[in-house]
Amino acid sequence: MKAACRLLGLAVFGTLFFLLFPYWIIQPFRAQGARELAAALVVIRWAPLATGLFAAIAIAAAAIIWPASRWNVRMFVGAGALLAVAAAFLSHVNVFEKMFHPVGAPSFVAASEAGVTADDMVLAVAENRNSHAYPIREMGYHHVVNDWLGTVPIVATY
Amino acid sequence: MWSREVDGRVLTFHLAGINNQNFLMRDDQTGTFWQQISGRAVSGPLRNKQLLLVHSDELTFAQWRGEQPSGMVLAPVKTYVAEYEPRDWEKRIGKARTVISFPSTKIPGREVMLGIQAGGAARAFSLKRVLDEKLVQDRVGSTPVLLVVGPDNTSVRAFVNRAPSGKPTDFYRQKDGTLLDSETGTTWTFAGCPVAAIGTACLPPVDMLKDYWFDWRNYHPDTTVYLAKH
Repeated sequence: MKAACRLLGLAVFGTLFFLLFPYWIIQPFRAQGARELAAALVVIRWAPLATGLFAAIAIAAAAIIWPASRWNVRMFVGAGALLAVAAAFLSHVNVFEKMFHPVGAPSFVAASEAGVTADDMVLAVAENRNSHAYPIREMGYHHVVNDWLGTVPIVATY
Repeated sequence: MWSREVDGRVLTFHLAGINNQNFLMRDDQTGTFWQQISGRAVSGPLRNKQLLLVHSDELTFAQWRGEQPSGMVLAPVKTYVAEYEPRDWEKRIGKARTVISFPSTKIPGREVMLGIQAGGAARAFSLKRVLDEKLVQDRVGSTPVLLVVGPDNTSVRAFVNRAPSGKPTDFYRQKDGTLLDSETGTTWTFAGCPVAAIGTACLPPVDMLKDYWFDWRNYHPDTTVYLAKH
């Protein structure tokens, strides 16, 4: 029983760590040190697997504790297991990926139809007979455009 | 601008984080994280791989259109068009706080620089200064370079300073944005190609990154600065 309680606590802590640590490090208005960033990126990459395992442990531990417990203990145990499961789901979501929308299958128009002002800036790339312009105002929103220039796969970033 | 082919495999990128205000991309295929400014894989299965730079220019729409009459323009994505940046958004970002700074350099962190890596060295040119001077003849490491402002007084390109003989020479910028070299008197367009000099090669373009000083300096700690006072 005691072991199951400890396991539940550990599992809840583990899911929360894997979920929150990267967000704490990767804040836009906070400086990132090289080592802490490297650690945060490793945590992000392993978070779906790790939080899944922790959530499973939390559920198993809760199932052991639940039958022999009074309602007040059950409340804590249930909340802990729920928290672990929620964190496991949320670890699949990257806020940055929700906030920014890359252009995956870009479409293009002729210059005469583009509706871009003459003195607006564009990012321009040309190779052989292919020439693409990416208006900076669009790039400032999308930041990433996955494109093909003829047969060359390119990514425009801004 | 990067090639997104790595070891024969085509990757698809999305924005997935931020590192000292330079963004991190992640590829859908391997989950590797890549630094936008350097094109380097910083975490994941492809760690330490390097994306290949594809040469690009930042030009006014009018200048680009004049050079590429049949070029194609990225269409706005309908779902997001209402959220696109206003025309003055760069002014706003120019005032935003930076999280890293290099006070010993005396250059404001948000100063817009044109960064060039060539000849084994890195050098930054203040965009304001280049726009004022219209033509900068300088050296980056062992490479003699020209930074030229276009006829629109806004677009900037960089080239290797190489006269038809193969040696660097003095160039002059004429009012219409074309260049004249003092070795042969040939006229060169803003795109770096000789006007009516058949058989003469265009000037080799030099990759140039428009970036805030704090970001350029962070990734190029040994950079020198054009006309720096020290």
